[in-house]
Amino acid sequence: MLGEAKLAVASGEPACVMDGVTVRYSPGLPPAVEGVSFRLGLGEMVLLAGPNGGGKSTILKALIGLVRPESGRVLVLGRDPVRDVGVRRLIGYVPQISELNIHAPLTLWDLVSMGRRPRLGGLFRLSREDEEAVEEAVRLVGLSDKAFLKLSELSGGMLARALIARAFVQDPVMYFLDEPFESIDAQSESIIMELLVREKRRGKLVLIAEHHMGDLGAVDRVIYVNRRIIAQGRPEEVLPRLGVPGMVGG
Amino acid sequence: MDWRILLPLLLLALAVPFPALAGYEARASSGGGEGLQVVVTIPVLADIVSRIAGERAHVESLVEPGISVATYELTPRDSARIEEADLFIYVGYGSEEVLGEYARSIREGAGVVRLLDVLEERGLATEDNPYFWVDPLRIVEVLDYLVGVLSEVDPQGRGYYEANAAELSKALMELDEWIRERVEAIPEDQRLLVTVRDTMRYYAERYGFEVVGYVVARPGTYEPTAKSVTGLLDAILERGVRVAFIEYEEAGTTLREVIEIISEEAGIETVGFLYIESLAPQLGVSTYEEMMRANTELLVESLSLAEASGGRRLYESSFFLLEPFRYDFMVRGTLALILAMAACSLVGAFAVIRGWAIFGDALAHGALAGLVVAYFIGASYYLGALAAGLFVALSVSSVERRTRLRADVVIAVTFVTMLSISIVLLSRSGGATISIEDVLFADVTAVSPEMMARTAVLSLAVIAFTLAIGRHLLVYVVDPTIAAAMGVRTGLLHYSLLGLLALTIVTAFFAIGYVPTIAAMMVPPAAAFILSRRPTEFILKSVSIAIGSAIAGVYASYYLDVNAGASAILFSAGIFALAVAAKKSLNAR
Repeated sequence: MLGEAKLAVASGEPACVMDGVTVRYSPGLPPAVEGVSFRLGLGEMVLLAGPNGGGKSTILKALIGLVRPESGRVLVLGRDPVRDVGVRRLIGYVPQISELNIHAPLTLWDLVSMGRRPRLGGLFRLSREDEEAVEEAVRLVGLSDKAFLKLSELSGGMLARALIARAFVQDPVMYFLDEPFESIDAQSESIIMELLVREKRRGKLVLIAEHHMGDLGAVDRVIYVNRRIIAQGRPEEVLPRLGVPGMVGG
Repeated sequence: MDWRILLPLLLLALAVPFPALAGYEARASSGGGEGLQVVVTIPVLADIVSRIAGERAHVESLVEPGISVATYELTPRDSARIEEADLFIYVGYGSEEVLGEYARSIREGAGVVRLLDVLEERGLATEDNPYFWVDPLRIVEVLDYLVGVLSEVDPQGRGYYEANAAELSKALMELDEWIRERVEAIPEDQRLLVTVRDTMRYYAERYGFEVVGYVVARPGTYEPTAKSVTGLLDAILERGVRVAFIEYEEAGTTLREVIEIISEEAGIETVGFLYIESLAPQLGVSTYEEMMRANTELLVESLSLAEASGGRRLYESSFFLLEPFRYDFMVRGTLALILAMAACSLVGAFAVIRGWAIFGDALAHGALAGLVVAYFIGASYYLGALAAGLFVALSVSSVERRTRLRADVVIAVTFVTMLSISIVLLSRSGGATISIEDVLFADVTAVSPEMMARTAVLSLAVIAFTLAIGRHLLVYVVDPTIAAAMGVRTGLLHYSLLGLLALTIVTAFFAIGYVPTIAAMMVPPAAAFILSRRPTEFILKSVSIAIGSAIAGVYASYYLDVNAGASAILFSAGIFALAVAAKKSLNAR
């Protein structure tokens, strides 16, 4: 699967393309995003910035194929994610913690195992190989001693790390993260960032939607949206121009 | 608006105005009438009272012939009749008593007569067995009292009433004489009575019959127990009973199913009908005397010709674990209870995580409305209920998607609407021969072989399908967004879960009854939820608690003489309570 992705990029195609995309949730309402165009390549870490309600989540959902654009074109590895369910499996999507139903009889281990769902046999039994992958992911996010706590017993930072680990066991080609640093502790934030940087170096695309961000050292590019794309480019060029100095940390 | 939302509203709008208009007409016409207006509760009482009242009074029964007093729903028109009558007479037992109390409250006590007061005083009947009129000579003993209450509201009529009563008394004695002679035709050792309720007691005492047994003892109750049913079966076999009789009032109830299953088990015949409260003009039974003659002829004909029974037990054992299962019907009922509860708790486990626990309630009430509609159009109850259940499932999910209302609000709205549709339909028709309570409390002692087969096949299919899609379903109920993002077809899963819920509930509904069905969807998963950390553990515990409770419920039903389905639920609730208590002490440590 990964070979296929590399092939698409080798021929000069970007990993993700948005071309004049407009999304409207209800016919009477103004569009959530309008005329959005950008290209993302493998091995890139991109920050999708902008105010709350500016359309960051909508862009992520359009890229995963959960939202159908009113007009424009979305391509992921050269395919339409709305129609091609197979391409969605190459995406490690990390939703906001608030979208997770934590009141389920589920341990952290079970949550991470869900990333291996397409490979699960029996009711919920994992193969030896899957178990090793889950163990490795849980260790990488520093939660080995918390693996058998229930979701309701975990802190926000631990849940955020668990969601990253779940995306990691999918062995995706690209990561799309929806506000992964929202109200979590500094330790969790640095563990997550470390893992994402590592994945970027392994040639994966990392797209982070976030309205606040501390350490921008690893970010290659910022796309700032507020319904439309306001600016895009290297962080040190884009952010001062927008008058959002708070975003440039460190 | 969607038609699925409009239809229930439309049905309500159509159904509501009719009873109200009818009430208005009744009020207008009764003002101009001549003579005394007497209202009584049941047709048989109306006929007796009208014999004394003669031309001087118009006597009406609230409950029309052919309709069970248990399903009667009061309409404004009937309220007006009760309020405007000069005299209201009732007996005072079971659901019939409720009508009497209602009349007492709207008439502020004026001109309301409860016959059981005088019957008990004179030792003619009791609250547990109010059916005094099945013995003509007991009526003779209250004629003076009836003349008294009529004369109180119409003093000039006293002489007339006394003359009528004397004539009736003579007719009743002749009837008594006639019954005595007819009964002679029945061999003495065959004068044995098995009925649904203890309705023929006074008849038996007067004419030398033995009441061998009945399914439920008290009027107004409808929960058979494994103990009472097995006991009745034992008595039938021991006394060599050859025929069981069904009361006309029980023609459409679960209790009738119970007695039919017992009879099949015992290899004896069931015969209908014995008329007790109601009359059936369409069957040539328009008066009290015709009713008594029809009942007597039925007894003579059935008991003098019946063949000896060929019933048998599966085995003889008094070992306490085996004793309840000496008969096929207990094995069937227990299996149906186990399978239905297992399916409910499995599907319920997913519904509980999804936050749909209370959905079962709405679905069951929807199914109820479908059943009532099916009854009126003569369709299959099962299909009617299933169609309505699916309709509720779809409308809840479509309203939830269209509006921003929380699911619990949408579910509650749907549920009361469907329940109201059932009540409106039943009140519009003045009741039905099916009793809603009987469907609500379908019982494990009344599971026929066909019902058993259907329950087994559908429950096992639900279980197999749920386990097959279980891992996708689990991802979906925990995290719908990630499920969609991972390429799971969430729309399909959503409707699969809804469909499974509807199918499971409706299937269980008919086998084990309404309350155990809804409870089995919620209580075992709730207890398992507290006791589990892992999903597989949760599902296994949920189903194990359900199966264990079902088995415990059957034993409790047999040995403690209580209802099986309800006891099973109490066992699950007990486990839930223990789990909560254990949890609390864990936190306190």
